[in-house]
Amino acid sequence: MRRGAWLAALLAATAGATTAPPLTLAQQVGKAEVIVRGTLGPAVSVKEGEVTYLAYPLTVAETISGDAARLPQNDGKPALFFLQGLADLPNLQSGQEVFALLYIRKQDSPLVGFNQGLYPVTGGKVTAGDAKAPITDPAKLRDAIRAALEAK
Amino acid sequence: MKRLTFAALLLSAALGLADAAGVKLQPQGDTLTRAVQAALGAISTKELPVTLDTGSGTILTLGGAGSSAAPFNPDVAARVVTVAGTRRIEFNPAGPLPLLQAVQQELARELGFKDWTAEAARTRLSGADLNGDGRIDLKDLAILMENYGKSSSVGDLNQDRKVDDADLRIFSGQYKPTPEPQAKPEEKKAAETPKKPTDPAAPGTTPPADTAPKDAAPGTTPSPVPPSPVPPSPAPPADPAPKQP
Repeated sequence: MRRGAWLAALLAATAGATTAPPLTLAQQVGKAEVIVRGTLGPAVSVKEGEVTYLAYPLTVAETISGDAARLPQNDGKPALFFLQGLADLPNLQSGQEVFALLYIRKQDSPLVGFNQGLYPVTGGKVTAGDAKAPITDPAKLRDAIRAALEAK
Repeated sequence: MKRLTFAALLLSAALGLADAAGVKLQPQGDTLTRAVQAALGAISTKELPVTLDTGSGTILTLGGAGSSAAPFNPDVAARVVTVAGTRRIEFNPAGPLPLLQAVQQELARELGFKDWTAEAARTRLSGADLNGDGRIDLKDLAILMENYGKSSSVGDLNQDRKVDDADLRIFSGQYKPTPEPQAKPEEKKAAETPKKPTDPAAPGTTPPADTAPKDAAPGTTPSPVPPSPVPPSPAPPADPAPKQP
């Protein structure tokens, strides 16, 4: 059964991955309970019982949908909570401006579609939409979100 | 490159039935174990039986527990969590996919299969896909030939600590040539010009180029392949201070 040993090596060499079916922007908007544009702060580790989360404070600049006050809080401020040790989380940076489509329940990832519902604004641009209709202008992303909300 | 093809073709030999490929996974609970066994059964063939070896390997659970007891994002079918240095795949009991489909998708990624088919399994588990691109082709043969005669682990398909004819025989049992684009007449003429063999790593003589290698399973045990390129995981913040809410 040396083949088994080889497979063990193969398994150890592969990366973790999370299975989440892809969602369109309209589908993400349809699922989101809160949609905001804001800026992330530095993560802190927060322990709740046996579970440890990484909490990224979120300074909300604009609420596009829902009530941002219903988001999980840390130190009295809204924060994005991610399960510590979870693979395939987006690379979040303190000071990063984002559009975030969120669930309000505290869970392994608050983002709709696991991490699909996060649109960082980098150099004044976002990457959203699809190949046929890419969206790079943050204002147009807001418009697309609003249009999807109206069509909901 | 053509000479390498010839070498592989020459070394195509009658090979016996393969031993089973035991996939080391530790599914927890009857429901998940049955789903994993069903998934492996779907890619198992007479030539390459794929079986579940629960003696060690990645732990699979249905739902989270203990330090990973956080609720699942409703959009994920499965998540990968590392807890105290132990890597686990946890399936969402209320996820967007049926459990069997979620198991197949996650294990395809875990095992590096292009898709959940017997063909993809054969390609990946045979050990002959030396560059890990999901295909057994001349690029893999070139890698093997580069290491021919050396005590390299790359290309040592039978794990005897040397790359030799035995490894070529295993490779030739796995290799299926794909049609190449039609060469222009002048290129074809040049390609047909015999070349003096200079590579001592190419044993044997030159058979006809369009002779298909015998499709047979390897008769000996494959060896480790180089790890596939893996996208970097996002780096967590540096040692955030634990804090009670």
